[in-house]
This record gives sequence, C-alpha cells and structure tokens, in this order.
Amino acid sequence: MTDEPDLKQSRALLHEFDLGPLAPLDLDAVIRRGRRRRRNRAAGPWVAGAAAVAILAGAGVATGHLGRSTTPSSVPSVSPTPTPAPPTAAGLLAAATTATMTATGVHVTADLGGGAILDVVVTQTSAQGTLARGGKTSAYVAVGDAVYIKGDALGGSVVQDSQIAAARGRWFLMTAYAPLNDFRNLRALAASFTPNAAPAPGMGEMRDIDGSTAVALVQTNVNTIFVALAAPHLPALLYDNAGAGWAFSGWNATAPIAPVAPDPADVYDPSKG
Amino acid sequence: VGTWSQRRDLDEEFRLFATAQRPGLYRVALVLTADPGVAEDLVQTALMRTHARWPRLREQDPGGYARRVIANANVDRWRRSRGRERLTAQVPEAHSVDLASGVAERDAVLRALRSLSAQERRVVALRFLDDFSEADTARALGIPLGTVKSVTHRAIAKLRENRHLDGATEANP
Repeated sequence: MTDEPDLKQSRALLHEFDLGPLAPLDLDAVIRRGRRRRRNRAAGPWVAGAAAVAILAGAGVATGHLGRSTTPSSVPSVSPTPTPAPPTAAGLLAAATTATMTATGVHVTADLGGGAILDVVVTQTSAQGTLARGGKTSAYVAVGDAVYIKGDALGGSVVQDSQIAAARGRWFLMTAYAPLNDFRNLRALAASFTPNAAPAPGMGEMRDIDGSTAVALVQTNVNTIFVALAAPHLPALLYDNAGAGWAFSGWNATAPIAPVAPDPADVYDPSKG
Repeated sequence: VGTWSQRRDLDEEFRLFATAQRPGLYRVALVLTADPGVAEDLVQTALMRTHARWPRLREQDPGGYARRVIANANVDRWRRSRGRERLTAQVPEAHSVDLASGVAERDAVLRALRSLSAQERRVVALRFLDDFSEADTARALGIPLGTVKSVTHRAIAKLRENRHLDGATEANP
C-alpha cells in the first residue's frame, strides 16, 4: 500500500501549490444572490399555500398566482442600501486598535520570552496581575506610566541578584524594561499592535478561538493578530515575531481593579542602582 | 432579518468571511474539478448559499458548510455531465506552458489532477485538504472503507507517476 512519505508529499503539494491570481470576486453580487435565495426559501410555504388556494379556485387563476408568486418581483423588494466597502486587513486592524482603546478592560496572558508569563487585567488607566518565571511569582502593578513588580521572578535576568538584595523587599520600578510597558493600560496595549515601521497587514487564516471566529491579520516579521470576525473586532490572540503569544479574554467583563502606586519610600529603581 | 444596521453588520461579517476563506475554498474546488473556471463557479455558489444561511451559520462552522456545498455542487455538476467527461490514457497537453515556476507547478498539478477520476479527486480532497481519516472519508462519501484505501492508493500512485508533476516537483523542491 501507499507509504507515509507519499501521503505527506501529496498532502503538502495540494496544500501549497500556487493557486495563481484569483479573479476579482463581486461580493455585492454574491450577497444579492444570497439574499434572494433566503427570501425565496422563506417564501416557499406561502407559495405552496397560494398554489393550493388557487387550484381550488380554478386552474387559470392558479397558474397566474403561482407564476407571480415565484417571481422575485412578487417578493417585497429591499430598498436600496449603501453597500459597505469590502473589509481590508488594515481596516480591521484599525478597528481592533480603536476597540481596544475604548474598552473598559481585558484579561491578558502574555508570554514575554525567557519563560516569563504575565497574567494581568488591563484597564483604561492601570493594570494589575502577576508575573511568573521559573517557579517564582511577582506581583505586577501599573499606574499611570509607571510599572512596578514586587518579588524576584525576574531575578538573574532583567534584575541582578545584587539588586534584589538592595531592594530589600521593596517594589521594583520597571518602567525602563520595555516588554512590560505594553501592559500599562489599554492605550499602551493598543499601541503595541502596530509598532513603528510595521508593514501593512495582510489577511490570513480564520480560526475558532474560545467559540468565536477570528481572522488573522499578518504584519510580516512583526506579529500576527487574530481579531474577532464580528464587530467591533476585538483582539483574541497575538503572536509576536518570535512566536510568543498573548491571549485576550473577558473584554469589558473583567473584575474591577483599583491598583494604587506604591509609596515612593517603598520603591526601588534598579536602573539607578 | 432584523434592522438595517443588524443586516449591515451581518453582511460585513460575511464579507470578512468570504475574503479570508475564498482561497481555501478555491483550492478545494480546484482539487475537486481540476478546472479553474468551474472551481470559481463552485466557490461563488458556495459563498452565495453560505450567505443565504449566514444568520444561523455564522456561529457554527460556515467554512465547513461552504466546503460541503462545494463538494455537493460538484457531485451535482458531475451527474449532469456524466457521459461527457472521459478519462484519457494520455493527459492533455497544456495549450501553453509558462516558464514561471508558480505557473508551471500549477499547470503540473492541474494536469495530474485531471488524470484522476472524479471519485479519486473527491477522496483526495477530503483526505489531503480536509485531513479526514480514511474512516471519516468513507462515512462522508458513503463508500466502504476498503474503497477509500484503494482509491487513495491509486490516486497517489497516479500523482506520483505523473511525469508533469515529477518535473514540477523537481523544479520546485
């Protein structure tokens, strides 16, 4: 029988061969035909009923009723409506960015690389959660533009052991550590979707994420963001260039948070020491 | 269906769906038919029928539904044209051969697919594009498991032995 390499080769070939340029698709026409089909299906029982009545009334009348009933003109016409332009990846990304900036909150689980996992609730003005790495967990708080962590989860990499000793249990001011800055608030989070010099996005695959359909917006060599197919197109997942993922959930439904900036006396800035 | 704004939102969703899914649907249709023109028609039919049911399908599996429409519409098309389509011992030569690699590869794949029977193409599409198991393919097509195995074996042998495809795969490893 067929051996496995042949199966794999055939599968790869059929999945990947160049389809060539696709002819322009008139989506407006497709939608018009879809609407007409839906109306005709909905009108089916009425047509049958009208035919039955007409048959009783007389063959000549029946023919007239049935004929008119099945023509599109007998169906109440839909008033002309402005047709929205076909969606573009750039338009969707802009919608996702706007939706993020105007949301009330979201829960994010983000792989920051190096085994560090940030689990936070981000709101319009603040963020709160935990940062875990190598079995250690630190508290994470962002208020205004400042980011603080308390604990030694970043010890031995971002923060030196000597600095942990010098902090003596105080909060670390981490604003100089860029990866955490994306999670200060929703505006910063939205800005991270399209970093400077990001290429124009392209439309990618569709995927079911947490029971909803999401479409991939690919910014080559930067990131891929899956946004909800349904408006307002909130992000569901983001993969950065290194393949690390951020998962978004609980949009506008997160538990309220009210983090307070630590007392300055309880803050240690590793960039200064 | 609902208010105008609801319908507009549904249409926008459908546009997104159609734009993103069209290449994948076209690939399935092309494997099933080996004919770009017919494949385009099948995709348009599938999208039209998917739109007609969009309010209910949108939260289910619209992509799967569209693929099923393509498969069923292709069977209908095949039944209508049965007797007109004939397998030939020799794969027809292309009218013109473009040396650009993508075009040459596509040309080779289409010619290889044309050397398969309609049933072989249906099995290949389900097994290789939808990643169906042999058992699932048998259930979907309503044929015995043994038939799926033998048809798969035969189809792969044809694809492998097709000289056009060999040339393409050598040129485009």
